[in-house]
Amino acid sequence: MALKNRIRKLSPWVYVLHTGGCNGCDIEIPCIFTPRYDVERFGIKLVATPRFADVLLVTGPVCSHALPFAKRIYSQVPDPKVVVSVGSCASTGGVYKIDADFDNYAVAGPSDQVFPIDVFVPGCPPKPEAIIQGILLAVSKL
Amino acid sequence: MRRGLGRIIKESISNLGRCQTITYPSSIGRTYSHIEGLRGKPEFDNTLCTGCRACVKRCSDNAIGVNETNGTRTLSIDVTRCMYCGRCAEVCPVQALTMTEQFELSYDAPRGSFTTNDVALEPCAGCGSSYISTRFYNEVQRRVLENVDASVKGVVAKDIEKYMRLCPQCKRRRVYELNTHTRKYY
Repeated sequence: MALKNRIRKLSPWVYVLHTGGCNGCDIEIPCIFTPRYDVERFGIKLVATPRFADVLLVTGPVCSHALPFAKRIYSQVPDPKVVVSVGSCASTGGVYKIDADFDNYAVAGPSDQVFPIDVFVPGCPPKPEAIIQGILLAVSKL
Repeated sequence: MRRGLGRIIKESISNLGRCQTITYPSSIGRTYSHIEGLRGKPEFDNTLCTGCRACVKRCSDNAIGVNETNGTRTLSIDVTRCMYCGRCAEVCPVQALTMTEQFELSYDAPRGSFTTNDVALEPCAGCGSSYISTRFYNEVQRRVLENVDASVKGVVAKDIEKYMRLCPQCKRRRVYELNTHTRKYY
């Protein structure tokens, strides 16, 4: 089991869950896989399905429309999993929910109201380096 | 064939010198930024801030909160909510808010990462409730007296002393006493 966890830490696979919002963070996340930042040298890999993933990157305020899909994708990620909330919108609602008690019919709340979040990455959008730091922080919790 | 191979080896050796990948996580700890004027975590200068709340009004994300307890006004910027637009730093009349180049702001749950600043408030001369900070009073006085004509400077200084020590409620209660009732201008 210890060996399994060690291997998992050596190559955390990442799945990006976009739940609405302006797409800014979704543009920054593929940046960390480009030759400039190249996180594949740490074994971090972008995968196409949540069933392969260890780390779930959540972007955007969870829109009402995206809520059932977000819940489903979260349940599809096998345990142990860590969830990283990337950007202000995913963490607090951002400009889509300007107060904690602000009632927006289209936003089902920031992501930590939908499922437990392990690491928050502030920024609007966060720099690719900040996202790398967030993922490495999340990997240490795996 | 051999000539082509030599060219490939030469090319690949010369390419080693221009590796594009940056050694990011190994440089954690030292200030790392290759962008000039990057806007990162906003920070207060406690020695300058007057607590005027201009930044609170300007913030388009409602990231700056105000809390007044026991004669202290606490401004706190929610770093997670902030979108790093820099408008608060732009609007600050005394340049107390600055955008630093910190961008490594990730943290573990639970949510809550703030930069705070405490400003001591003085009590209102009428009712005693905390109302204005000394630094704000001094700043307003300085700015007004700087721009006013020299002949009326004494009167204006006296007026500032008279009106600015009172909270809005006290000012309203004493309209006849201070002779500021709107009926006067009819």
